[in-house]
Amino acid sequence: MVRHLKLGIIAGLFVLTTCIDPVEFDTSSEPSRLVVQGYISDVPAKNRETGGDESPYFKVKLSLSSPVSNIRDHPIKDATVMLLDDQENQQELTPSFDGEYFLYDEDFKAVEGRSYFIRISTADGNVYESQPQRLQKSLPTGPAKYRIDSRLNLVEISDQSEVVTLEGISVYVDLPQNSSQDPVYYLWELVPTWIFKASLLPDGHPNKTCWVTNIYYLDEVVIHQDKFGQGNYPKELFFLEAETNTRLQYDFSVLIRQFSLNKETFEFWEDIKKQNERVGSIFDPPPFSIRGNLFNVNDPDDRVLGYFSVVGESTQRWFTNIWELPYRLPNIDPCRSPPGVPNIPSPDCLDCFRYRGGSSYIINVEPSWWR
Amino acid sequence: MEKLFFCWGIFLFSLHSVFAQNPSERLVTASYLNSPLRDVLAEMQAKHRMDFFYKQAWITDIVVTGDFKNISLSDFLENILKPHEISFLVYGTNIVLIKGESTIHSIAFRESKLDEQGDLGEYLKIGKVMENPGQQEVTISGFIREGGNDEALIGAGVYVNELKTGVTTNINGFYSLRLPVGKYTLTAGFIGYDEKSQAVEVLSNGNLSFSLYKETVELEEVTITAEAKDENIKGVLAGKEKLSIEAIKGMPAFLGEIDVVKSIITLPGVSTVGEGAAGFNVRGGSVDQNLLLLDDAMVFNASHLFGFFSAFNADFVRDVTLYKGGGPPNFGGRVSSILNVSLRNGNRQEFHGQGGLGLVSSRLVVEGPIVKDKTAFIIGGRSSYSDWILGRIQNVDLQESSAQFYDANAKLTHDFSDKDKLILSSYISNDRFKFAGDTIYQWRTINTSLKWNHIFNEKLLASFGAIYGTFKNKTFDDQDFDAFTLDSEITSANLKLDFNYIPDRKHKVDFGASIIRYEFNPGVFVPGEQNTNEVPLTLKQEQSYESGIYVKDEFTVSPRLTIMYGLRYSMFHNVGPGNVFVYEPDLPREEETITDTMTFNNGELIRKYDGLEPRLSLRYSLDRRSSLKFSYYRTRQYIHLISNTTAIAPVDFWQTSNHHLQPQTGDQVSLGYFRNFKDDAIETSVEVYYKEVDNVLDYKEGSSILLNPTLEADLLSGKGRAYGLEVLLQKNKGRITGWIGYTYSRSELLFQSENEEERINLGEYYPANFDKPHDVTIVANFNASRRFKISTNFTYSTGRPITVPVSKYSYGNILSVLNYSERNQFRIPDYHRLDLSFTLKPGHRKQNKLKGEWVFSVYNVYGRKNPYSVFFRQSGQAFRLAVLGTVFPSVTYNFKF
Repeated sequence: MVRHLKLGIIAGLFVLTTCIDPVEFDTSSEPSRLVVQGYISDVPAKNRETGGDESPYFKVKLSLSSPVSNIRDHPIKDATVMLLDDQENQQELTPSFDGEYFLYDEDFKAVEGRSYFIRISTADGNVYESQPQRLQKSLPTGPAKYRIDSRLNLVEISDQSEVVTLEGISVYVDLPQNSSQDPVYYLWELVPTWIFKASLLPDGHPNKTCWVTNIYYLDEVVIHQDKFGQGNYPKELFFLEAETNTRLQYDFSVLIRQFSLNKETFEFWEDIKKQNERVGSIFDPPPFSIRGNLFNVNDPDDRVLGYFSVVGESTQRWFTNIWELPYRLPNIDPCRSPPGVPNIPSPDCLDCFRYRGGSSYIINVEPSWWR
Repeated sequence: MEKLFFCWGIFLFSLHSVFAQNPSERLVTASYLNSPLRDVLAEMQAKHRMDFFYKQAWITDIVVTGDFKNISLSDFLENILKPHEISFLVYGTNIVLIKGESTIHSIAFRESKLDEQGDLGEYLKIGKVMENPGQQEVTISGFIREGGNDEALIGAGVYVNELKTGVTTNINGFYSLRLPVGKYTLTAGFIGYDEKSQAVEVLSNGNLSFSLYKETVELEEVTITAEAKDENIKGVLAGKEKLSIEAIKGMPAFLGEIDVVKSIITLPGVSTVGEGAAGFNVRGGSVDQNLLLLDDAMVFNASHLFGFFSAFNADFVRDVTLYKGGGPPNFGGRVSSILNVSLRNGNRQEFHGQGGLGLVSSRLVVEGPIVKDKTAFIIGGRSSYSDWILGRIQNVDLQESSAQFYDANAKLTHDFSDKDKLILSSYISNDRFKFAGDTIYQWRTINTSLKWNHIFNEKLLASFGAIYGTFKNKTFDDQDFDAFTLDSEITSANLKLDFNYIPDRKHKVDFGASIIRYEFNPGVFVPGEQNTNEVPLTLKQEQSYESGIYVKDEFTVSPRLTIMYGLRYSMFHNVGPGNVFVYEPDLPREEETITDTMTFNNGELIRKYDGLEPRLSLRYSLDRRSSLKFSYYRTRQYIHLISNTTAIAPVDFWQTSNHHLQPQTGDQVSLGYFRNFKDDAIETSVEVYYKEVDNVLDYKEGSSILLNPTLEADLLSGKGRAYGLEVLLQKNKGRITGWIGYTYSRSELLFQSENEEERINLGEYYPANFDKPHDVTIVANFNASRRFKISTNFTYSTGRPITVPVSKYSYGNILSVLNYSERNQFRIPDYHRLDLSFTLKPGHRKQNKLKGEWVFSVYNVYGRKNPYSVFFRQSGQAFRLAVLGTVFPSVTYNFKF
């Protein structure tokens, strides 16, 4: 409903004197807990479009929660993961490095009317199961569109905050039309990829051009509840700053993966989104731990984190057409200094693999799906 | 010397009206033969209710001889004084004798104020000599008024020194006292006013009225609890605190905005969740458990700008009384406290005005007679100009924001006679806050109350009140696809009838009845034209009647022991139209477990609740300087604020008890020891209390309370308990006044259930959001000179509880999802702050009709970065945000004319 009431930020009313300092809490008594993430969809692996180095096969990822000061989760590599359904079919998932368990079956897809769950047996003898899930049929996505847009943003320039206008584009899809009156729940996953060039290398050098994928670049949780299932109106997915964005310099693309969820899965993602948007003001509702749909078969007090879901899936790839922008992007090359200034080029001027802009996957061969 | 100065001030603006006052209308018929002038004046004083001021030495040898028939008092005085080269000035009911024509510079008349005990030498006779008086008890009654404008002083005390008993005036300023015939000294006193004593010889039933004057140089204006100077040990009610507006105005305030409501946070047992948060917590109670009354009318939101400023105009307020606990049984409806803000009445004799210019807002109040001595008005308002502050803040959202507020009061009083008085009071408060260029929050209170006071006789008084109020809340957005409006509203209509009956010297009986009709509209949601994803939604309107009858007796068992005992019986009827969902029993309430819907027609009873609320307060004097007080209060609360945030948010709304939502019931016991030192100059007290509240509310995790048609399914009903210790040391006299208060308090909640999702904190007690165990407040005022005053306050409290992330995990492209602790298991850093203010009072130049004072205040002197909140980055790292984390200097100019 009126979820966009941005109450939290009201607290910043007197920000003219706001100061922010880190504080620490002693949270050492909290145990590590099992974290599960995974889904299966109605699109079999052989037909799934993927971005970056993502495998098309369905997978379940197991890890342990970590202290808040930690950076990486600890993967669980020695468990057994089974996918089961209500017709007593079962398939074992194959562990790989890094705590990922794959369903190497390129024809497998979730079908309507059947319910699925996973069973995890860990090395310490615990058995965990997910609540059975049913497929929410997917609707075809409308094509992604964009419009020239701008946002206000606050930037810190040498201790001074300044409000600046960001020129860019916002990308949206028209929600599919549907005749049923039931609500439809959506989640979008965005996998952006762009081209980076090591500008000091000559054309033709194998390490001149790289395709950079960074799954954390567009990391907002994009969900939507189409309450009456009627669709046919636009839903914005993300805003892309363009004017000063070097990622757009050569070419930029996003794999837009649209999931249709059931109500419970939507609520799980809604909770994650709520948690991400908390600003910690006294106008915030009390924070809470997000409940998943897995449980320890033998110990109801053992809390398991994460979710296993069965979703409808449809994907499309979208490319920016920078020549359609009403302004020209500045062509700044940090590798070339003005004449007379001594220049020590950064490593990525001579090797695109050493791109410093952040990536989760980088490759110097044009992907097959690139335009 | 200081006191003299005050009177100078009075002369200055009343000189022009000398002789135009009553004395020319009052007629004198008398004959004297060598009567001492002193006696003649005493007689005039008693007859005409005038006060004479003079220096004893001037008149010692003067005698009066003559026959006077129907000549005006002023002529009479001129007649008898002129031969002795004494002239006089009149101010209100004061007559000041002056030696010579205009050599008034050196009078030290205060040395011999006629009515000060001892100077009189003779007893003022009350009543007529009775044939066989014996030890018969008679009644003395009268008014205590403010000298100069005749405004009734409510809650002023009259004390019989010899009997060590006293009474306080009621809302009409009327008192009635039973005592055996005999000679006594009666002392009248009121907070912020000079005390007045009168030696009397009581012969039969009779009248004696007092006029009290504001303490001359307001030297001792920071008397917080004192009504009579030893009210703290003599008063029967435990947990009653009173702040005069002078005390409130003396406190350093944030951006110079005097905060009537926040000032009570300096009292022991009162706290807040943070600066800038609306409302306050009393003895571990939630914000909605406080009944806020502004001239009898209920106020649901007493703050501007989400809580940064109070919604009351300080120039309009007379005093603020807080009852920690249920208070006397004439109050009801809230579990934790009653905050009674009483407003001033208009001056019935002269036009005056006062106001102030501040950084955030300005205010102005004017008052005066419509018909002299009969009808008076007072009207005033306050308006903000905070928009420009927002424009200067380097924040995207705030630059596109705007904040405006105003409030206004108007009051009309009319005396039909000494026995009948009508008061019409009206209040409006409005806030409009536009956030980040889209969402606009607006809330408005409009209250009107009409009151008629009638005195049947000196034993029986009645007061009838009719009050109507609305509180509206509107949130809207006019941005294309997101456009919507969301309204909620409360209307209440209240009728009440109260009686005070004083059968004899040992009993004071109050009884009465009241009924409130509530209409709650918890939410009407209308999406904008282009907003096609939302449908209009109207949450069901709720109608209820809350009624109560009560009787109370204050029984003086012996001079040592006084008991206030009373009973309130309250009822609550939730009536149709309405629909009630029926949930499957024994299962957690959720949309899926609704089995049926019951439909009720207009006026049909949906649910009734009722109950008895016994109240008991007992005072036992150990000696003249110390006493013990015990109290037990039971209270019931039928309406609830639905809010799942730490502080009240603008979209929070109220709901009445209904089929699912049960009333809250509170029980509180307290025990206190009170002791005064140095002739009541120093007051000390220690109080302990324990409180339990049933049916307190909390919310299921992650639930949404806004526009939730099945709200009852997301509400949890539990139990609250609070206990604590309050210590107060207060100094009322001298150049340095103020107090030190320490409170230890705990407030915990318990939500148990068969179902996991209906439990909080695994079904064990957890600290409430406002549980702040240690609290220290120091308030000090230093009167450096007559014109210069320094005030300071220091406050320390334990950080409030908070729920923090204890572990995290990454999920998909979300680097960290946080896993939180059980509810409120950690605390934010402690809070402490020092404020200072400097008041520069005006000089008293003869021609200055306008008296102005400058108040320079510094909020948060040492720039403590008190956490307003602690928030967590997505990574789980904790940061504290200090909103007012720097020094806030401000200047305010206050004026009077």
